Amino acid sequence: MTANDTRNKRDTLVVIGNGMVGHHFVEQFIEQGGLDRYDVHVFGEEPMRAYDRVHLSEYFGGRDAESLAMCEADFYERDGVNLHLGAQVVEIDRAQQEVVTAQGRQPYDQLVLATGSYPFVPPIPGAEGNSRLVYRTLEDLDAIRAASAGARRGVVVGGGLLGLEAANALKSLGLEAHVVEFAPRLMPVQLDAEGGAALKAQIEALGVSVHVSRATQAIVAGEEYAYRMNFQDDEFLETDIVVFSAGIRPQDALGRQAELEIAERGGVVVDNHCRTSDSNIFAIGECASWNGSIFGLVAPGYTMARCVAAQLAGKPCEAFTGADMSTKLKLLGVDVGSIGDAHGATPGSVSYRFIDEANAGYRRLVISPDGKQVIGAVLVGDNSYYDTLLQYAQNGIKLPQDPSSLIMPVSDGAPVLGADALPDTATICSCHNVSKGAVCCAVDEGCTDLAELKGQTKAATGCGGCAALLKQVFEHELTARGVEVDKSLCEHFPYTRQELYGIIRVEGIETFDELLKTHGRGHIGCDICKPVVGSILASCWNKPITDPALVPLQDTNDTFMANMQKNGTYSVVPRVPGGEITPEKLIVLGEVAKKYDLYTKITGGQRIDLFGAELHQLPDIWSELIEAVRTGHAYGKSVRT
Amino acid sequence: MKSCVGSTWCRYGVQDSVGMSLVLENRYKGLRSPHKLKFAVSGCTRECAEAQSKDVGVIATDKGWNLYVCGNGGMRPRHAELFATDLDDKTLIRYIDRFLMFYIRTADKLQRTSVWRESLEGGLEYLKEVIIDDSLGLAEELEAQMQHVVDTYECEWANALQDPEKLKRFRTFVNDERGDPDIHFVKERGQRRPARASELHLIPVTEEAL
Repeated sequence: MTANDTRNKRDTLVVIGNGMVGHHFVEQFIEQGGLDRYDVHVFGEEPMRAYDRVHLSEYFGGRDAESLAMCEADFYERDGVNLHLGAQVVEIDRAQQEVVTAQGRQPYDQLVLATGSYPFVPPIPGAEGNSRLVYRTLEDLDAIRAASAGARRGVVVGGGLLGLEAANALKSLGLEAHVVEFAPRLMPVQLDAEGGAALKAQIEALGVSVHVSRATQAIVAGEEYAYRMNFQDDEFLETDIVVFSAGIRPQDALGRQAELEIAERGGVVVDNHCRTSDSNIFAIGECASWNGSIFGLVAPGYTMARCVAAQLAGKPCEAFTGADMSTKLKLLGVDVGSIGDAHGATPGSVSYRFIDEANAGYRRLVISPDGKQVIGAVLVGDNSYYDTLLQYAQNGIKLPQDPSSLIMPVSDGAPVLGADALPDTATICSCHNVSKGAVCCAVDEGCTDLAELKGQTKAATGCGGCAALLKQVFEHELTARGVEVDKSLCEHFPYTRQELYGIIRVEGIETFDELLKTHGRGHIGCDICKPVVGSILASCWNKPITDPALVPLQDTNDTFMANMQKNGTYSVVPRVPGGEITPEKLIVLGEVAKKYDLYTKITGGQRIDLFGAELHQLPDIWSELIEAVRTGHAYGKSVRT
Repeated sequence: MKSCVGSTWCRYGVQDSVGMSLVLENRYKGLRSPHKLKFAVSGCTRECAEAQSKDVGVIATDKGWNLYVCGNGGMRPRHAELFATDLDDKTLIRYIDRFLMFYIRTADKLQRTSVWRESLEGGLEYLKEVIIDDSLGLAEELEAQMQHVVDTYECEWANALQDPEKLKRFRTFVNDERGDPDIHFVKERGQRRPARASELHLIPVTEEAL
């Protein structure tokens, strides 16, 4: 009865948009306990639940839609959230407090807009069909795939972040890829002139042609290819498909229809708590305009989502006061990083530049006018400097004596910013906004396992770029608390592999049982320590691994001295030293392969692999081979190719 | 072990790379280590055997052999680093003996030489000091340990075939001599390959009514 009473009092929250930010909002809302207060309805226009747009180009690299999904298929259902997919909201009725879809009306008490953005296609005469493709959703990608059938060349209009991703996608579809950019360089927002030039050189080396300072004026029928793109000054480029990636526009149509306040350059205007001009409606992510700016990155969208989720759940929340637009990415395999004031636009700022013409590498460090802080950086070709530079920039850490050392090539043993130099406020994971302080907190509460730490704090579970830094901080904090970082091999041996090797050598131990009795715990060992000890014993004493006492220590392949394949059969690889083999021996291999119907292939290591033997056939096969050839140890952790 | 055909046949070869690869493979065959070890020997700097992508790479020079170590292909490729130049046969083998045993002694489990090298404090210089200058006074011990492994080599299959007891494990079922009836093959390009699930003629199981 009481349950029913509380149920009646519940309000309804409607979320429009099920992209990355919309999904993150729901996740955070659930986590903050918001489901105690609200029934939640989520409307998504696309037929697929939220997926990872950041890694969209991997869709052509073999990842399917399901593996790009942001959550398990039953995530929403499990928590009682009503997810309506393929349901476009066509109207917000503010007077009635209802949203309208083709399927009907849904009342709301609070409404969150997370409608994202759409790709901007400049009004170019003749752009239509395969010369007017865009790159944003899985459906767009399917359209590009369909258009690429029979096509030879593809052009992407727009040399920004998404444009280069799209060029990568065209390349992986087997097309000759071109990028056409209006500005005089690639990624004009994030990179300066030298950085853009270095990136262009690297990308062209990968076989993608880059045309900068080109404005497409019209698209007409082509002669050699389907279309011809006409630029200024009578220049042109022919192609079979054209993909536009010339920027995004906030998807604010519903905001306009509902007569919410709209920013001059588009986007639903929000305040520091992501509230729109209607106090019952919030906007987050790319559809929201804060202080005249749209944030086209996932991290600021997540910050907004957390802010609104906390408010609605009645938890304390931090105001949204802008976001760091620093980015680190790999475009077509080329590292690109941009931090803060990448262009050195701050008056009086001083820059250091490192230019490597041999490898088209470029690094720039921008220092504040007083020479005390990093305020910006550009990296092309090597992002290993990024984490350290970002920490310097975000936390105002005092510069080293020679600031240029921060971007100079790293030789062995060069100092990097140690985990202890970071303040507690330092952001370790930007995706989930996890600070060093939060990591320390988790350690204080008794977390001593990296996997557990990731589960608790979510750090390093977004883009994963901070994994190395997280591990470093974690281990440093453990050590600082006097918790010995446990380097034991497993629960049975409180030693590292190296220490066990020393013990076995020095004491002349020849069996696992003896080692366990004298230096270990328990009676049987496990899958971690047995193969390690088996390998050490073999390295030291070289007794046949077929000895009854040694057999149980071996991995699968070593146990039967053959390589197990996917259907449970084995392959046999005889030794062919140096790849030299006599015709007589080749004939023996051929005869045996023929008799046992073994699939035969030359390996990368100049040997011959015989596949498809069943376990019980191995002794017979080897008894026929052994006069001519010996085992190749392809099954062991030993010398091969 | 991968090798090119070398000076015996090739117009460019300057040393007998096949001969050297036979010496090395026969020396280190059967050696167990924390992870697999790949070798290659090239007969000239054209590097047909791609030795610079191996744990141990040997490239012929006019005067002898250049030794490269700690290369890797695979998921995270790493070029091998030039470790010593113009070595004679004996010195080459001595350095490789020491290098391999030092790796086996100090590496973590399942750690390839490339990762081991990257985590090695002091880097390549330190490794050269230990192996070439014998800064730790280990050289003799490492060589003796390797010699023991070389002297005790035995083909594991030859060993197993001599002992009927050892062959008893090679059975799919403990109570039936025959193979596994669930393994199916199809013919493709003149040879057998495992059947895919869609190619199996599975008999539908009808649920029994309760």
